[in-house]
Parts: sequence; C-alpha cells; structure tokens
Amino acid sequence: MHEELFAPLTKGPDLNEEEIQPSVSYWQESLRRLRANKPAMIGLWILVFLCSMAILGPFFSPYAYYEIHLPQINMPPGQNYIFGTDELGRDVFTRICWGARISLFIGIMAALLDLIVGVTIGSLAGSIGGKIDEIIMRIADSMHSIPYLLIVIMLMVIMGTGIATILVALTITGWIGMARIVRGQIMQLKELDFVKAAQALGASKRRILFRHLIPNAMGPIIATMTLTIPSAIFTEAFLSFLGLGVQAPIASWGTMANDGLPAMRYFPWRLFFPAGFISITMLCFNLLGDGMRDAFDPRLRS
Amino acid sequence: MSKLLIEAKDLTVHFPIDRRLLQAVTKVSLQIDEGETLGLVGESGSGKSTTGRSILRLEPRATGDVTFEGRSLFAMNKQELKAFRKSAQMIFQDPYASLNPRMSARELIAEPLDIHRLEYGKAREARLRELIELVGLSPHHLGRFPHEFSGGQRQRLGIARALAARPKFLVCDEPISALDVSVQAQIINLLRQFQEELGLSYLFITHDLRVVKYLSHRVAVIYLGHIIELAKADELFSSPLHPYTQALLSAIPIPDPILEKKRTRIFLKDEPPSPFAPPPGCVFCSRCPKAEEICFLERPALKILSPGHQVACHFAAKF
Amino acid sequence: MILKVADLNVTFSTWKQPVYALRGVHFQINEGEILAIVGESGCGKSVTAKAIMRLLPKHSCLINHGQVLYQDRDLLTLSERAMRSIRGKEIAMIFQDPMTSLNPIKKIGLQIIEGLLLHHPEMKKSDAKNKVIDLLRSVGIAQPEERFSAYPHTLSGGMRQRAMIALAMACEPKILIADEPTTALDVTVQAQILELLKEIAHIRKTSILLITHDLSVVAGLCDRVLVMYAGQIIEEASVNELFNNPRHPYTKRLLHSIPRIDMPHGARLHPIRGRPPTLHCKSNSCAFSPRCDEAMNICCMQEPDKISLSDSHHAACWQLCRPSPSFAHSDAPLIFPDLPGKEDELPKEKMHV
Repeated sequence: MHEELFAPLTKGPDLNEEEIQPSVSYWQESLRRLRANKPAMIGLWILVFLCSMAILGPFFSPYAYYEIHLPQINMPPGQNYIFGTDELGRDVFTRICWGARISLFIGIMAALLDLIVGVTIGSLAGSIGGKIDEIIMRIADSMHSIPYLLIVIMLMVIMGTGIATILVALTITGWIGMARIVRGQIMQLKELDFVKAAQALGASKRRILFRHLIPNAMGPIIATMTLTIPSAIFTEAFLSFLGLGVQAPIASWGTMANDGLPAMRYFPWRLFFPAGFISITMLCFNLLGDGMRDAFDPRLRS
Repeated sequence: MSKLLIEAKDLTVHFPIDRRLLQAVTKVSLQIDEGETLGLVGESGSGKSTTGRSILRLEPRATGDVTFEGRSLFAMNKQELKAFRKSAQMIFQDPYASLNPRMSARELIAEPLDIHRLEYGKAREARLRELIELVGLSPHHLGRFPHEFSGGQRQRLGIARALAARPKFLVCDEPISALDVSVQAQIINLLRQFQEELGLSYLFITHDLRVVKYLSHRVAVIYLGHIIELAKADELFSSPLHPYTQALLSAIPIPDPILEKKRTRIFLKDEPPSPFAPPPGCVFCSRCPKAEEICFLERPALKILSPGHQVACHFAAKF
Repeated sequence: MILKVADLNVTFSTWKQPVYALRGVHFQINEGEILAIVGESGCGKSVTAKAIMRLLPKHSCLINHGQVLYQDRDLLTLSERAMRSIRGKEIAMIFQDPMTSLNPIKKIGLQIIEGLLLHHPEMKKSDAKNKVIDLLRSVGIAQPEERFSAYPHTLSGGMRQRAMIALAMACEPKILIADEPTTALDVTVQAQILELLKEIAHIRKTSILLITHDLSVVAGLCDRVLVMYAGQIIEEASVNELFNNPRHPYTKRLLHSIPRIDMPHGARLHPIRGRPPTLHCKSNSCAFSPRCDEAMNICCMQEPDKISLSDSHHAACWQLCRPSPSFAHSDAPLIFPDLPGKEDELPKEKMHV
C-alpha cells in the first residue's frame, strides 16, 4: 500500500499554465463591472423609462402639447390629467413628455458634439505637442474665461432663440473640458511602452493615434460624455427658465418651470413636475456617468 | 569571419532640459555581427536604454551615425526607415506596459504584418499560429487579452510580435528584469534558441551582469553615457580591466555562502555624478578607488589592450 | 527567540474568489540573527511581513488563524493603539521603493525626528536633532548636517534607502523587517546597503527579517533561510545547509535556475517549467506537485508534513519520507524522518571562482 503511494506520478502533471476561463475583452469586463454597480444600473433603468416616456408618451396621451382647454386651467393631478394642467389648460403630462424629448435631445447632441470637437482638438494637442499644443491650450484658456451667458446672449442676437442656438453655445464652451481630458490622457499614454513598441514596429503617427491612443483613452472620454449630458440638460433648462432658450408654445422643462414658478404657492404641481424631472434626469445621468468612470478605470482592476 | 550587421559610430544623445543639457549618451560606437549578441551593461542612468533606442532610430535627438547592412540609417527617408523596421525590432522591459491592453494577442502579433502589409488570409493565420507556437504558447491563446496572461507569457507575446516581420536584429531592452527568477530562465533560453535557429543578432541591454553571460558573445560596459570597457564575455568576467567593471563584478552576489564570505568587495566612493555636469576628465574619476591626477583632467579614449578587448582608462594596462 | 509566528493563515477576499495568501506559516526569529524569507512573487513573503506589522488592509483581508508572539504577547490580538507603540519602536520596517516610502514634501531630518518624538515624547527637540544627525552619519550618509534639511528627491536611490534605514533604526527596534530593500537599487549600491544591514545586525544586535526573491543576496548576508512557495514555508535551513544541501525539489530547481557569474559562457539555464499557482483554492495536495519532476502519487493526495532533517533543517516534501522496502507492507505510520532522499540528478556545472 505504501509503495503505491510513493510511486512516481503517472498522469501528466497539470502545468498551471492554462486557466480555463472564457476570454474576456476589456470592454466586456468593464460592462460587467458597470452592471454590478447598483446605483448606476438604477440610474440607467430610470433613464430608459424616461426615454420611453419621451418617445411613446405623446402617442398614448389623448392631448397634444399645445392643446388648450380653458375650462380646465390649473387643475391638480387627477383622473383626466395625470399631472394636472397649466395656466392655459394644457396637459402637464404631455408637455413633460415633450420636454423630455427636448432635454434628452439637447443633452445627447451636446455630448456628441463635445465628443467630436473635443476629442479632435484634444488628440491633436496631445499627440502633436509643442507649439500647436501651446496655441490650442491658450485658446482654450481664453475661451474658458469668457462667461457662458455672454456667449449665449451674443449668439441669440445673431442666430435668434431656439434649440440650434443653445447647441452651438454649448459646443463652443463645452469642447474645452473634453479637449483637456483627452489631451491629458493622450500625453500620458504616449509615454507608455506599447506606444513606443508601435513606433518601433514602424507604425505611422495616424495609426498610433487611432489604434493605440484613442481607444485607450475611451474610458475617460465616455465617462466625461455621460457627465456632459446632465450639464447640458440643466443649461438648457436654465436658459429656457431665463427666457433665452426655446419659446412658447414649445414645452421644455425649463420654460415649464419658469411658468410654474409664480404659481408655486397655489398650483405647486406646475413647478414640481418639471423641476422634479430635471433633477431626476440629472441625478440618473450622474450616477451612470460615475459608474462608467469607475468601470472603465483600469486602475481599479483587481 | 561573420559579416558586420549593424554599426553605431559616435552616437551622441544630449537632451536639453530647462536650460541645462542632459548628456545621456556621448560618442558611443558599437559593432554587432550577424548571429552575434552584444551585451550592453550599465546601471541606472548609464544611458544604455537610450543607446538601444538610438540604434533603432527611435530617439529623435540622437546624432552620429548608424549603419545597417552598410546603409546609413541617418540618411534614410521615411519609407526606407519603415522598411528598415522590418529587419530590426525591439522587445521591452515591462511586460505589463508594452502590450496594448485593448488588443487581443492575435491583433498584437499581427500588427507588424498589418503595418508592413505582409501576408493576408490563410497565409497570415498560418504565420500567427507559427509565431505563437514558436514562443511556447498555444493557438487558443490568440483570442485572449494581455491581462489574462502572466508576466512571462506577456513577454513571450512581445517576442512573437517582434519576430513577426522576420527581423535580423533585435534590441532587447532589459527583457527579463521585471520577471520572476524562474521565468527569467525560460525567456533567456527562448532567446538563445531563436538566435541558434533563426540566426538573429541581439543587442542585449541589462543592468544584471549575471544574465549577460548566458546570452552574450561580447559585452560592453557603459557608465554615464560612455563605453568604458568592451570585451568578449568570458574575458570580461575573468579579467576585467576597468576599475568600474571590477567594482561591478565584485558587487554581484553569488549564491554560495562559503564563497561569499571569502570575497573582498570593492566599494565605490560617493554617488554617480549628475549627468548634467559630468566631470571634465574620466567620467568615473570621482568614484574610482585608483584615480590619480590625470584622471581628473583628461578623458581617456577607448584603447585596444588585447585583441577584442578595449578599455577607456589611463592605467588599464597596469591593473 | 524574540518573535514567533505560529500557524498563520491569511485570506484575501477579492472580486472573483478568495485568495489563500498564507496557509499555516510557522517560524521564529532569534536575537541578533538575519533571517531571510525567499520566494518568487505571489508566494506570500510580503504578506507575512505585513501580517506581523498588522499592516494588511482590514477590509479585504482576513487573518483567520494564527499567532504572532512577541515578548509573550500575541500581536494579532493587540488593539491598534497598542500596536502603534510597537511599530517603529520594537519592530520597524523598510520597504522596496524609498521614493514612495518617504514623504516627498518633508525634509528627511524632520521625518526622522517625527518618528523619534512619537515614541519618546519627553525628548527635547535639540537632542532629537543631534541624535538624528548621528543616525544619518552611522548609516553612511556623508555630510549629515546638510542632508538633514534635504528633501527625498534630491537624494540618490542609495541615499534614500539609507535614510529610510535611519528612520527605521531611530528608536532602536529589536527587529527590523526589510521588504526587498535592494531590489530597486543598482548592484554597486546594493552591495553597500547589504553591508550596512550586516553591520546593524552584528553591532547593534538587531534581528533582521529580510524578504527577498534574490537567493544570491541571501547567501552573503543571512544566517538562516526560509523558502516560501504558495503561501507556505516549504524549506527552512541555515544558510550553509540550504545552499549546499537543498532538499525540497523547489529549492533545488530554484538554485539551478538562477544565473551566476561563475558559470562558463555557453552554460544553459534550467528554468522551472510552468508557473506558480493562483492560490484560489485550498487543495489537499502539495502546491508544487504540478511543476515537480519528482512528484509521486501521494503528492496529489495529501499535503506533505514538515520533516526534520536536523535541528535547523526542515523541509515539507513527501520525498523525504519515502519508506525503505522493508517497511513496504507494514502498518507503520507514514512519517519516517532521517531517511535519505533522492540524489540530486541535475548536472553540476560549478566552476570555482
């Protein structure tokens, strides 16, 4: 019995080389971490709900957003009007849904424009460096110091009010943050060995930028984009609140809040719903954005 | 007689930092024949990595000349330089930073094939399989990502990538320093195997003299950007002539407690001088236990003291 | 005997699965001796050091078993406050990278004074300053009066490490734990630091626990050696015994795989195939068996016990209790100490320097 135990091992030894796990790419693992982040997921689902409200709401509502019902002005939330009516008898719920469309559209468009302009400028500054980088950064610094409201008002004078003006204004000031982040990321990544390896292999500067630098900077880029959206939404609401944004009868959450403010004491739902929706949307995007930033941050990898 | 493959003449790399000049590499000349390994040994700040990069023309501030198969690299245009990169490659020290974390092993190894437009379709698949098996991994590893590999395996991927375009010359910049001891041996054996089978030449850069002996035919010792001794590997270890090389060898621990107790160590004075303001005489004079007046005034040139053995020291012949 | 570690078990809880970093570690440190813990990355040597100092992260790490006995007290059961009076004063630690271990925005001298006054609050500032300057001089820092007011980044790597040693020795601890103190240093500087450590042990009678992966360093400096693999100590011996007569297959293979300058050119290196285990599961087999050329059936069935080959030499390997043929059919227990092991069959390529 003892002999057998001390006989040399017959089966081929497992070399510990193989780890029989399915291969998982960086994106898959980041998505998995995101899915495990409860607040981010809650934010995401609420946003999905909001999107469906924005898209489908008006179809299911028996009212149009501009439909005026003078006999039913300032009615509290009830059977016929889920969120009540405003001072012209318009259904608040339908208007909230339309407001969602505008807010989400502006938020996402602003983020996309930010992405295109900011990433382009940032990667140019970061990868070329030297004098070009200096020039771009000084332009960014000067533009950053001009008050945003001033730019909006100037643009309003030229372009008139409306969504387009808001978007242009947001892009003109918004690219700076993204460009700085992208530039910082690229300057950091440039020093890493795998970029030097690509150079040693003979890769062109363009190839290095698009295949190596930008993909590795995507984490902070996406996270920044996700945090740009609530900022843009709030800005639009704020401008509309000031009267500088969309004009009546278009329902934006900001204009609705503006209209609802004087009636706050007697008809609180007219302020409550738009303000509430602005807040919840911003919170959800912030939670999602934070979650994405954590999920894509390689340093948090175990 | 082997054919000369690559030669560096008077390579100099000085970086202007703020308003001072960092003299990283000064007038370094090296020759490497086909199928040969030249070890380049130096401590941190000696300029060895900078030299390695300059030889591959990856250092924009380098001046001097490097000829590869007789053609000067410094006179090449962009296309010629790109073609040169097929024949001369580099493997890096940090296996964790030298692979793009977003790319799969397949994409990583195939990158040189993409860049130089070599082999597509079935031929490429076959070449990728060949490469991954050559470095001791298996084809199913091709779909995996760098973070799923150990340090030693990543280094193998780096080597596979470097070999993809069938180079003749590899600069190995401290390829094993970041690996565990038992894995280091695996990689060294792998590199040796390739040299024997594929006829590769290496510039093997390291700070670890112990490792250099296993892989190099000749060894150059670099201190503060200057080559101070150059000899065949066996000879450098058995009869080092430069005081710095002697101190270096005496400092290296040997895994034998009885021998260790018997050894006398040469301890160097002070610390290495700043690379911004190297002394006017010999770069080593401030720390040399045998320095005399002339060492502080005149910089010694590399002189041939015996066939294949060069030393930059005024008193080398005496030691 | 000044410190005793008994049956230490440490588990880390991670994202995926728990990591059994230390599994039943036993050893002791004697007064004035230099003890080395040697192993590759991930074997648990740093974890051992940090466990003794109670420096492991509390939220992800669990010391689920074991004792660390120092002066009849179990350090693992002490309150954080009591532990703080031990750290620095009785047991001090130096780390691998002096750049990140020293506060970059504080002058060196002031950092050492801070440590000194923490444990000796009654000391006057001027006395403390003089003591620190003496300390800097004793660790070999030239011009200590000027260096007192220097910032860490103005010093070279070697000097920073000396400063850190001064910091650690300020309160004259009984034990100095050095976690890879020379790995990041040039070899010429390494030799000087090791010489300094030797001085500290012999002149001040401080015990040193040296954590390293470099066996060559151990040969010249240490009195006793512990070899760790996968969270366990698999061999323990005096330094001469370990290098001249290694008994555990891992130790033997490790010694054969390290490059040496006294080998002829053309000699081959003998790597250990495979790689270290991932420590995710507590298996009932010898952790080294997958990579071991001498593995037997029993190695995959049961973890080997520690066999004593002499008073100072112990190894955990089933090879050492292989029974002789006369016991083959008896019911005698499996453990037979003092039986000769298999002869080392790897070629000896030694060349004498």
